[in-house]
Amino acid sequence: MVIEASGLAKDYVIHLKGKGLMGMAKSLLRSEKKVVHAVQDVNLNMEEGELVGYIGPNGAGKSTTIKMLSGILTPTKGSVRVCGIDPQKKRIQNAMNVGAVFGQKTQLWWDLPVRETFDLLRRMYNIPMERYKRNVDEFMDYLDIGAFAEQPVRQLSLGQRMRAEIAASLLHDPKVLFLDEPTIGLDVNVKVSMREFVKKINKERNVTILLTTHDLQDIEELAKRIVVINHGQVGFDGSMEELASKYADGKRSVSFTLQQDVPEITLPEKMAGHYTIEREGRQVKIRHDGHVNASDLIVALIQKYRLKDIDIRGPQIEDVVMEVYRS
Amino acid sequence: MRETGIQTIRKYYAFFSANLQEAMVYRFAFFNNFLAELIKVCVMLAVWMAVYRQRSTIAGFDYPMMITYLLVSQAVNNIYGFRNDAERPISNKIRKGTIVFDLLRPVKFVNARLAENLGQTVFQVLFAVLMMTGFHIFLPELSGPSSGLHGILFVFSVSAGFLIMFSVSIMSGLLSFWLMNNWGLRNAKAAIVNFFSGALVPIVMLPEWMQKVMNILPFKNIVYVPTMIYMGQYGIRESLLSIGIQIFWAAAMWLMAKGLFRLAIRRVSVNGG
Repeated sequence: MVIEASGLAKDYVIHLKGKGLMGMAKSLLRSEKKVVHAVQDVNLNMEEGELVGYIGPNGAGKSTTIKMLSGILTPTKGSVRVCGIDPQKKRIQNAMNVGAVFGQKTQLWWDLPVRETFDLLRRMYNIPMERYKRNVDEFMDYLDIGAFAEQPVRQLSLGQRMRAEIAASLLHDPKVLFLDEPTIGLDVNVKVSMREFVKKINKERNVTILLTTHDLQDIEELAKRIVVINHGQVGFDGSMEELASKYADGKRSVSFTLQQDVPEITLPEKMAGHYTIEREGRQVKIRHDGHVNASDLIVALIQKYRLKDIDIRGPQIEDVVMEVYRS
Repeated sequence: MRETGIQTIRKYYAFFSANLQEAMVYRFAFFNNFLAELIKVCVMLAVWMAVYRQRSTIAGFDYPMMITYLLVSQAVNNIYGFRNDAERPISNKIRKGTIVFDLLRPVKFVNARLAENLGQTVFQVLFAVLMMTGFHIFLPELSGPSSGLHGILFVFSVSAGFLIMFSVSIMSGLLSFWLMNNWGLRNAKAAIVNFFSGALVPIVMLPEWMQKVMNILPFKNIVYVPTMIYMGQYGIRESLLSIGIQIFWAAAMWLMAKGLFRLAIRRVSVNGG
């Protein structure tokens, strides 16, 4: 196991400020405290080379988990091992094993050119020159960094910066990579190239990757295993298919346009109770669950009605995830 | 896999050179600072010149001595860089949340901040030397170190004073972990250090009870002691003893800063996302 976390919990104490001027003055003297359970009893094990998509709504505890796994935050309860060591106790040793990208924060030196940052990281991690050159060449080439490598970071666009960030996080050949919303705010092109890059290093270098994102396309394309966290607790841990079959009921649909006006749409008896019909004039959408086969449904429809623009949809990850978040 | 000494130095040198390069980017700010400090020193000079028009010595300090004390202590002050203090980067890191990356680097946090601070200090030393040379041309009263040996001891004394100052700043910076914003604390620290270090008024000129308080506190080791050594107010023996005391304080404060860091990361809560 590369990552082993058991019974992980993190509480935050929040000092509440009173309302208005009087309240503020009061809270200067004595502030009310509130304990927030950001993460409760999270168990997460990851094998070497695994890529896990860690998803959940805002404030679910994703970042807090990542920060505990990477040794930045001390867990209130539970234990963490990354590559066999406690990342909190052996912070410096752990640092050599892990890399991280936090989409909202930068690890590059704001005023220095990208290439300079890379060189500083080389020295900081004592990366042998040969390996450093090989990595930099490969990353620069693959992520197209060369074009802006000599510009100070503050002048880069977000897309350029994020490409530099992910390259920077991998220069020292970490065994584990934490990606906390690496694609946030990026355009489609950059997203695609980031995804390709993540896929590539996961495959070629067998880097274990934990990825959080709100972009479900990222998850669909990258993660074989998905862990869903909500209200600080793991709600699901398994494959995409399992997730779909567990939560996708009623999330399949057939949409079409009728070619003539029909007063009412009727479907075979045996399908009763397993579908709902939404209709607006000639536009029809039939939602159905796993008991009804889309092809049977269409055959039944075609026998009775004249249709066009038929659109068959399987479970959409957005719907599935919304369902999980709600539950 | 244990790293060698050279590898360790190279690691921290990365922070040193990063900071030096960043300082280079802000050359304009550096000259601005230079100007502001220059004006401040000129004002202080004018005040003391007026004071000495009324009397010839104060607490054993005659006019040329006072001029020397003032300029040397201000130069020392600038080497430490009260403006480019060590705590501002820390409180920025905490406010912006980029502290996460500092905790992910394979380096000791306080040591890395020291390396960074030394990067800025290169500029500060340059500035102090420039300032002293400039004033020397216009003010013949400003004298050099009282002897070659005093000059050498002065360099050691300033280095020890630098470490004490650094640890004080780091500790005040680390308090941002609890306070989130340490602007007020920083100003309080600057005021306290300025006064108790003897950067404003030579400590011998103060009432006796105050001198007693200051002798117990570590702050006089920051500015007052190096300046007195420079001026030859301390004999060689006394100078060596003072430097010994400075080293004691430097070590004690350094350990305190490290201890405070250990406490701080245990309660770190990272802002935003």
